[in-house]
Parts: sequence; C-alpha cells; structure tokens
Amino acid sequence: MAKTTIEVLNGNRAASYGVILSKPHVIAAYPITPQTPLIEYIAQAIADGELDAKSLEVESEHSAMSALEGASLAGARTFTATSSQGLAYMYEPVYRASTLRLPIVMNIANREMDSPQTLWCGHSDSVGVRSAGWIQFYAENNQEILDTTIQAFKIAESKEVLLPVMVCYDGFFLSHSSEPVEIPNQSDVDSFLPPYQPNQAILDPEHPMAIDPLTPSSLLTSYRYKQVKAMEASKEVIKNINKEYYNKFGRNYHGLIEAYKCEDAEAILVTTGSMTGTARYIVDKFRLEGNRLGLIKLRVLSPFPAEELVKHTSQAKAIGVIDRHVQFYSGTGTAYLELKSALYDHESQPIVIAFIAGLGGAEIGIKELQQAAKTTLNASKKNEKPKENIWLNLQGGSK
Amino acid sequence: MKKEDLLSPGISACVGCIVESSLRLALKVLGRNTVLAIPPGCMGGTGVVGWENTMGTKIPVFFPLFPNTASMLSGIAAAYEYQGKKINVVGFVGDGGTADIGLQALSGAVERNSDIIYICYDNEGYMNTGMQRSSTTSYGAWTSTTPLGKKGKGKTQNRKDMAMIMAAHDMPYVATASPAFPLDYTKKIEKAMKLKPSYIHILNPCLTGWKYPSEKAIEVAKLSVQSCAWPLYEIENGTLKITHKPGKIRPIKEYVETQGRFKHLTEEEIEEYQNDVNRKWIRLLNLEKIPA
Amino acid sequence: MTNLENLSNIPIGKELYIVETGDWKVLTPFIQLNKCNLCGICELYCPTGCMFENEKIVEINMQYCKGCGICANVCPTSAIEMRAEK
Repeated sequence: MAKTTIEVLNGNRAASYGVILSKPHVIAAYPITPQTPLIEYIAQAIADGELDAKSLEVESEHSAMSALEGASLAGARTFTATSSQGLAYMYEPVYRASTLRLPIVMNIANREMDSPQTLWCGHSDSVGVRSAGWIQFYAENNQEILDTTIQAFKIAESKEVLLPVMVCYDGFFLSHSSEPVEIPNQSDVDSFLPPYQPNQAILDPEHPMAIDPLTPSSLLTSYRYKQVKAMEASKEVIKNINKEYYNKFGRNYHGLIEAYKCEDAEAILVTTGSMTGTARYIVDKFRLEGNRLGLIKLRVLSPFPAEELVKHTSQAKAIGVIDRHVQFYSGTGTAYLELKSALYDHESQPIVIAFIAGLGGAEIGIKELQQAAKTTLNASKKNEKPKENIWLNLQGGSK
Repeated sequence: MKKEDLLSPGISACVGCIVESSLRLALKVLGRNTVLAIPPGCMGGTGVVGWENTMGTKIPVFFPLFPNTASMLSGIAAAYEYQGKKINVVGFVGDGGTADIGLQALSGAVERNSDIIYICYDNEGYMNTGMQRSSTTSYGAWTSTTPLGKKGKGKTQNRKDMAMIMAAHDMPYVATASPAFPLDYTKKIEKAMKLKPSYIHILNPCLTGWKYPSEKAIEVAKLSVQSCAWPLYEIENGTLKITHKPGKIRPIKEYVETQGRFKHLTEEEIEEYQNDVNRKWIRLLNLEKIPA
Repeated sequence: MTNLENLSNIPIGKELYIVETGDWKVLTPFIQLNKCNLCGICELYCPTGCMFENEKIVEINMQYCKGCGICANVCPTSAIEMRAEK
C-alpha cells in the first residue's frame, strides 16, 4: 500500500475525500444542512484542479438527481449528496435511478424530516426512501464514511449489481464532528476502482437506441424481477468488495452486518449508524459486569441482511433493536419490523424489543444505551417482552 | 427538404397533427448527431420514444420524467463535455412540460449555460391526457379543466409568455416559430444549433383540443401569425428581430372563428383579446427598435 | 423461470416502431398531375412525411398517409383532391 496520510476530519470532509478519490465525472448537488460542507469541499477540490469533474450547481435536488441520470445514461460516473427534505424532493428521480439500473452514488447526511422544523440528525429521510431500490449503507464513524463511499462506486458499477448506492451518515454527530481518518493514496484507489464502463444502455449517436420506451405489464414484471435478483446478488458483491478493501487498505467492515460479542450473548442490541460506537462501549462495560450482552451493527439496510441477522440473533433470548426513526404506521422502527419478519420462519424466536431513539438530533448516548441494554437483558432473563415499544428520549417516558 | 427523415413514418399522432410535422422537420435539420429527449406528452404518447423493445426515431431517444427534461439534458451535456464529444442535446417538449411543471428545470439549465437545444411545441394544453389547460392556453379557451357551464366561461387567465421569460434569462438564442412558416422555423433551428443554450417556442394548432377540421391546420397556424396573436421573432444575443411582419394584419376575430374552443366568446371578450394582441404587438415593435 | 439472461437490464428499443397509420384513412388524397407544378409545398407540410418526388412525379406512400387533407389545403394550384375512396 502506498503512503497514506492521517488527518483529523469531520464526516463531510471524510466523505469528500471518498468522492475525490473515486473520480466521478459529473457532480450535481444542491445545498442543504448538514450536507453543505461536503459539496463545498468538492467544489474547492474542482477549483484547485484536484478533481477533474463537471459540476452542475443545480437549482433543486430534483434537478440534481435528474441531471445525474442524464449524465449516467450518457456514460459518466456520477455523484451527489443531500439530506431529509432534499432527498424527499428528489424521490421521483431517486426511484428511477434504481429502475434505470444506474450506478449513481449518493451521500446522505441523515437529517430528520420536517415537521416540526428541524435540522438535526434522524433516519426518517433515508429510511423513508428504502422502497426506491437503492443499496443503503449506514456509517458508524468518519473513516467508514470515506471507505464505504469508495466501495459504493465499485459495488454500484459491478455488472451483477448495477444499482445506485447511498452511503448515509448521521447529520452533525458525524458530518460535523471530527475524528482521525486515514486517507488512502490515489494510486491505490485507482487500482481498486477501475474506470466506469457503461453497460448496455447508453445515449450515443454511434449506437442509437430508445432508452425506457413505454413498456407493457408483462415485460415490466420481468424487469422488476430482474432488479430484485440484482439486489439479492449485491449481498455477495458487498461482502466480496469488503474483503477486497480489507486486503488492500487494512480496514474490515464485515460486509452487511458486524456481530460484536454475539457468540454466547443472551441479549443483543441492534444499532445503525453512529450510535454503534457508543453501543460498543456499553457492551464492553456490561460484559465486564458479567452480562452476556452482544451487539449487531446493521451496516446495510437495503438489501436487508435477513439471513445474517437471523444467524446471529436466533440463539439469543432477547434482541433490542434501536431505530433512529419511527414508522407511523406501526409505531416502531424499520429494522425492528424487518428483523421480526426475518425471525418468523425460524424455530427459535427471541423476544424482539422496539426502541425508538435519536429523533431530530436527540442523543443516543451512554444513558440511553444503558437503558436499552438493561431493558433487553431484563427481558432475556425474565423471558418477558416489555408491554410497550420504548422511546429512549421521550420526556416523561412512553406510556 | 432533402435531408433524412429520422422519425418513424408511422406514429400514432392524431390525423393531421401538426406537431408531428414540426418534429419531423426539426430532426431533418438536427441530423443524426443528436440525442433527443421526449417527455410524457403528445409526442411521447404517440410512440416517438417507442413501445416495448422498439424506438420511434432513428437517433438515440429517451423519456425524461415530466418535470425534468431540461435537467436531464443539462446532465447529458455535462457528460459529453467531460468526454470531449460534440453532440446535439435536444429536448422536444410540450407546453405543460415547459411552462408549468418543467419551468424550474428549464430556468436552471439555461441559467447554467447548459449546451442544449430546447424546443417547446405549444398546443396550448395537456392534449395527450385529454386537453386540460396549461399556463400557455389562450384566454377564454374551452379546455377539459376550464369547461363551459352555468358558471364556466373557459380559461379566465391570459397565456404565459414563455419566450419572453426565456429571453429574460439573457440566453444566446430565443425564437418563436410557426408550422405555417417552415423555412423560418428551420432557419431558427440552424441558429439554435450554433447559439446554445437555445430556446424555440413553436405554436402548434391542435385539431383535437382546439376543435377544427384536420385539413385546416396550416390555415389556423397562418392566422395565428397574421393576426399577431403569435408574432414570429428571434432574440439573438439580446437583439430582437421580428422575422415575419404580416403584410395585412388580420383581425383576431378571424383567428378565433376557426376554432371550436373559442365558439362561446362574446363580442366583448373578442374585443378584449384584440386589445391585448394589439398592445403586445406594438410593444414588440418598440422592443425591436431598442438596441441590445 | 423467466428467461432473464436475454433481457436487457432496462427497457431499450432497437427496432423501429412503426404503426400502419395508412389504415386510418377515411379520405384519400389524389393528385391531378396536370395541375401539379412540383413546387414541393405538400411535401413540406405533410405531417407524416409520406409525400415525395419520384422522377418528376409526386407520390404518396399510402401505407402511412392518414388522410388528414393538409396537402390538399396547402396546394397552391389545388391539384390535390380528397376523396372518400381507397
């Protein structure tokens, strides 16, 4: 591995290095807190001649994703970033990015959806678009943001996959907080990430074709099926590319999930994003006190790693899933629902507890994770599920 | 026109659809080194992009989403710029996809000096989906969403002047056109290919939505120009030039009488329409006198 | 099991889409050659592009002529007649 540098970077800066090293051709982005410094860093890199890309300072997020779809169809490697309201605004072309099988990469600085008016961290934005067919990563720390962004381009452009990838990281907790990050060398990234070769559909007068003509239902159904198969195939690709990255750059993110001290765990916490860092500390602390507590970090939400989760949770007695959003239709988070659904067909059925926390910038700190760990351990010992879903930041507690 | 016809000979446009002729003519001028965007609308609905595994043109063509033709074109142009390729990046978009839902994208793409050619075919309504009104529908017109009834008198708002809105962007080339003046139109397309971003707005009468017999398409279009309801002009790098000055200006009543969608207009409403047309024509003549 | 191997990743069209729009005609154009002076105006205005000159005679590709009557309407010498026959 060639010489690298270690700098103290905030999440946006780390993401920007991930982007710059991956050399996209066309970038179109619209500013929104807490993503804005990311696009500023990229703009500066272009202005300094560090990144040779065409940048479109578009007039809305909808146009950002639209412009990238055009550029991608014309054969370019593309990138954008956004948060909450911006992601919602671009939902129309976001859905199409996956159904057009375009390998677009997007960073999401997770921010709670309005209303109430907010700027701060929550997962309701990216979780809200989970049906759009994108691969979704959630980073635990700034190093992971950089590394996963580079991996995202390779995963997206793999011919078995050809799906867009979003790399999400917690707004403010990661985007604006600084940590030491090792920046890979450009030549190493170049050998890891080959140039983009567009596949099949292209806007090119040398190869005239119609892209996306009106399609009858039978054919559409086949395309949907094919896309589902590609999403399934992406699981192996994600694991393999993780291994390849580990071999080359020395950092292992364990593929779809990371199981931490789960082998003999009675109670397991499932976390997503930056809360994982604090959760590790809690697991270690509780282990020292003699509790058989484990942790699963959900690195990828889509494709949902049902098999891997069941493998590591089915032998435990209680699972506490901490979601950084709430689905209004069920009163729980999504990881909770998906895990329960995955466990349904399994013979052993641990208790699964829904924790809702960290909305609109609320902290998922030591206090909150301690409560989650205690509740889950209690449930595992008494073999009794709490009567209600548990809101860790609710003033006065949930009724 | 001896140039190559790049549109399929059999697309399911209405019998006598003059938009079909405008597209056919445009593609003859643009040539094979072109990538074409056809958003949802009449041309998309008639099969210009294609059906199943077919294509309606002989050049690359695709469906943008309804609001984002100009943004997609902007992205395509950026990709070609990165690749060092010189290709005509063209949108052929209806009035709905331009003046209503597509306006934001168009304004942004033009403000960013995107290397694109944008042609708006204006049949004054969402004709493909059943003749609903758009912001470029003429005042007083019957449409399916401004119908006549006890309380309904047709569209109560004046039409939006898209060409002037685009001119206010200080873009290199803006022009209005009419299918009744095809050589004026083709000359404008040739200029549009050289001065980008460029915007051409062609007023296409629609037999189904405007209600006139199919063979009269060119008559109606000619009257739109000769009555000054639809003046033909171009604005090249800020200089306005009227490209057709009618020898004898026809009264708006003659134009209105050709179309069933205006059948209900009262004498007062027609007079109001005439006054509006006169006011705008005189303003245009004065604008022509002002240096860039 | 769907044969996905031969399916492209997304819908693309490569064959030309052609509808037999000639079947739509109610009226058919007839050119009176003695009145036609080969000005080319009918060809210029025809929406379907089905009119063309072939060795000093204007021909119409009836496979795609929809019978709209624009050619007859714009012809300066009234050389074209729309008739209710094939």
